[in-house]
Amino acid sequence: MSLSDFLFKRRKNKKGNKAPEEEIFQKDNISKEYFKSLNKNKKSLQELFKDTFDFSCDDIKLGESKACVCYLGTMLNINSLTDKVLNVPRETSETKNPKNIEEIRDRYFPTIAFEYAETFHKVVWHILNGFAVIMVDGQGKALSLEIGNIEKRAITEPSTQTIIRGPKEAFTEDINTNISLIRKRIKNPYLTFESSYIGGDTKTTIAIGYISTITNEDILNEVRERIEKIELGAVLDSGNIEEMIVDKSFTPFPLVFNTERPDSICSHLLEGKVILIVDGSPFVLAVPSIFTDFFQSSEDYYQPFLMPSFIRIIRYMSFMIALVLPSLYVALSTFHQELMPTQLLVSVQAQREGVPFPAVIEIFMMELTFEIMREAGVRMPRAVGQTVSIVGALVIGQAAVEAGLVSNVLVIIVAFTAIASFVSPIYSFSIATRLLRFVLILCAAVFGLYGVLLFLIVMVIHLVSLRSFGVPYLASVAPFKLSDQDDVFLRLPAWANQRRPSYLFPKAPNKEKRKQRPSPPPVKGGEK
Amino acid sequence: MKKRTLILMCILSLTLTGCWDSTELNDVSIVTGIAIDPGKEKRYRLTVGYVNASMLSPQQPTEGAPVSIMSLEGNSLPEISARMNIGVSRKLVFSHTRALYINEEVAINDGVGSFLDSLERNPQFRNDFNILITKGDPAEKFPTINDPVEKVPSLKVQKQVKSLLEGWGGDPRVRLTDFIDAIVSHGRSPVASSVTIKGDPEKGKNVESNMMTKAPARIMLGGIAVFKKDKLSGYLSMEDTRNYLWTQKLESTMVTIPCANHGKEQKEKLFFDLAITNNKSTIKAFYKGDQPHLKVDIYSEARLTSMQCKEDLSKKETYLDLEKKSSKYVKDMIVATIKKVQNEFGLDIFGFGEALYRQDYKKAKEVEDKWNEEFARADVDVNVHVAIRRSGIRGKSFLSELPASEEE
Repeated sequence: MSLSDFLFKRRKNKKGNKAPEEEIFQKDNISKEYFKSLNKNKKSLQELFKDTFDFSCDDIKLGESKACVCYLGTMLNINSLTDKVLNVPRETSETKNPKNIEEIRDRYFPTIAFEYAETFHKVVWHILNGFAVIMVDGQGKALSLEIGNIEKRAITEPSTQTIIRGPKEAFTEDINTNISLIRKRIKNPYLTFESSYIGGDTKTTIAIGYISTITNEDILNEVRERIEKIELGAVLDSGNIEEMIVDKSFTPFPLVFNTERPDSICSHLLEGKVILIVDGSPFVLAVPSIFTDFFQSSEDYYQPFLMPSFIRIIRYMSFMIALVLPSLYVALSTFHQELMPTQLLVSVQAQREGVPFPAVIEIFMMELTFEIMREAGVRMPRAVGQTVSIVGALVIGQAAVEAGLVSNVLVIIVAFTAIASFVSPIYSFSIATRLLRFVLILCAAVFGLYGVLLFLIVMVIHLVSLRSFGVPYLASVAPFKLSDQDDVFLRLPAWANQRRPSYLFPKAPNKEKRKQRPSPPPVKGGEK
Repeated sequence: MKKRTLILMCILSLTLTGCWDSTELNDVSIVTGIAIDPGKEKRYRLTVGYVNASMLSPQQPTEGAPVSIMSLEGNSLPEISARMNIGVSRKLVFSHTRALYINEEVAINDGVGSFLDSLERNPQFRNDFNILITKGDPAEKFPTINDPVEKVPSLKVQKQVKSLLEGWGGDPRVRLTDFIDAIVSHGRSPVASSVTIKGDPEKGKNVESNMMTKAPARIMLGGIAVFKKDKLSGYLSMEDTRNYLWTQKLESTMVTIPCANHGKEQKEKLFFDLAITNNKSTIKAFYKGDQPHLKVDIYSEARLTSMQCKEDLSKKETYLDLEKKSSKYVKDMIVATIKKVQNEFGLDIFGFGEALYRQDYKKAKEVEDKWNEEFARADVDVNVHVAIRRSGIRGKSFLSELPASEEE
């Protein structure tokens, strides 16, 4: 049974490659036609960019023909424009006049990367993308020259997903840089990037990447289809796209994996996933993504396998701690005093002595305070950030306890919960636990452990119902598959982990064919 | 529309049904000890000792009593405990009860069955507190005796019992359900630990007694109390309790055994000690014709902890000899204890009847109503094998190297 029968029975895939530039201004009120007359074109361009200070349209002469260079001065390097275009030799007494635009390019700009713009839409598009467009009088198309870069951020270390051992590069805001970072790691002709433009007002470039020999066609078509359907005014980050392509939006759990690490994206590609790069966003998406993806750090694969396996278990544990610890405290201290060891109960009671609030209010206060501090810490200018942590530690850690507003145990619980919630390598996943925690505390306050259990049951039902591009969110655990377990809770060594995850239905299920567990070479003869 | 109603109903049910049994920690008092005495006017006098948590806080240890006591009279336990708030500010929580002190007078005259039922019925009571029969002083004194190390008296007693059980084996390890099972069983009589106060309980009540190096009053564990059904019938000594436990489930103990054979050269008072580290015992009961036979097989592993004898410990024969001596010694002890129980009480506290029930159901059914008499007249056969595994961190004792002349 193929994946498509299994998952997307109702849908029909429509295929069709569009030339995106042709369509890109369809909805705007811009005429499509490119005229032979230079003046007409120039006029309509100037009409379009009339109040923009950085738009220039300089007249030049190329041999006999009148021409005009149009560009956005802020989108290209003015120096090289002067060198390469405006300073072309003006040979007036030239015998052979270039007849068409191809010859003009050949003669005057042989060293510059170029494109032809046959329509007026394309001319505008090229100008917006930082080309210098040369329109020659009497020619049916314009010549667009790629003059060279506008400023962009250099490749730096990842700021949100740091690791100790492994590549230290991170994606930047530039889509071409990002693609090059991936291509540098996967030198494979089948690595394909399809681009399209999304956003009625922003016309943002997005690229769908996949390895055609590995990725399942059905998943790929599903991604294409969902991308095509998007109609957004503006796309400023991959997060905008993510919200439009998820299977279900009313869930706290992220259904799309995002990372700023090229190595992590590459490993997803090699597993058979589809990636989405959005221009202007350093966070690249990978789909379909499942629950366990969010517990895996790319460093797991760079360290000997024993420690990462242990660390993974720690991550799952801390997920549970971040989720249930505060609610367990509420449930145990208000409903189930008998479940705590006597000594612990006595010491908790001694600390709660004199605290004026019920345990729920107490814990809500502290959790909210912590959320406020965390938010402030993120948004504050970096110079002030230090103050927040000091004030927070003092106010929350000491003063609140000394003033008798909260008990000591509670501070420990809130602090531990907060730390545990940071363990997930992907930030968007730890947000989920933050949100659910509050609901859990409420459940615990109303029903005790019974409420906690009820909520967890509902949560598991919800998780099981989730799909990411048709793949069950709890895949390899909830539809249990033994062969996929080599990289879920434990990270088996590379030689034992030869199969790609089967829930992705990859075209090539095996990574390597040979069994290659390393062993010392056999002892040569003569020794006993 | 339907969906909306459903959601509304869910939310309403949350607010209407939730929180009904929630109590904040600062609104409850944790009861750690319960004492039952015969009442003057009513049937029982119940005393509860509850923890004064802020006195036990690790941060600000304040001067003050770690527990408070409240006594009331009434005809049943639930009734009295429900009325406790006559004098106590907070709701009492019984789930952390660590010790149940029963005045021996109650146990002898009234029997314990009537209030054990209410304890077993109440979901708050866990099955992990110690049932202790108080000798001498009234039970209500026991939850008040302070101890400088364990601030809460009942916690002290529980820990004491546990340590004794693990180290030497003086507690029958009986919990509420075991006790009740034994009451209703035809093949076993219930037992419980007993406690006494050594010293002056009036002085021990004062928190100032914690300032003294030698406590003016101390709760001491006695041997086990033997019950006939739910009524107390007598006590066994500490030694006998250990021997009793040896036939049941002994974790570890210590025996001192004279070097020379029993009886012959008693004037020469030399001993060796064995620490029993591992113990396995099986109990059998069967009939030979009409005569009941009780059989106990015991296999114990031991470690030599002291050696006053002159034998050479570097030889294998010595160990075999010591094993033989100690096996016989232990056997004699246990036989003596069983005989004593047979003669003095005629109550099968060992569970031979249960063994018979498992091994020979028909016969057990026949004799189940008169099993205690059968037990009293049964032949006893005890097999003990003590295996000495090691001798501490020394082989030969330095005593054996002393010049012989000095010895004499």
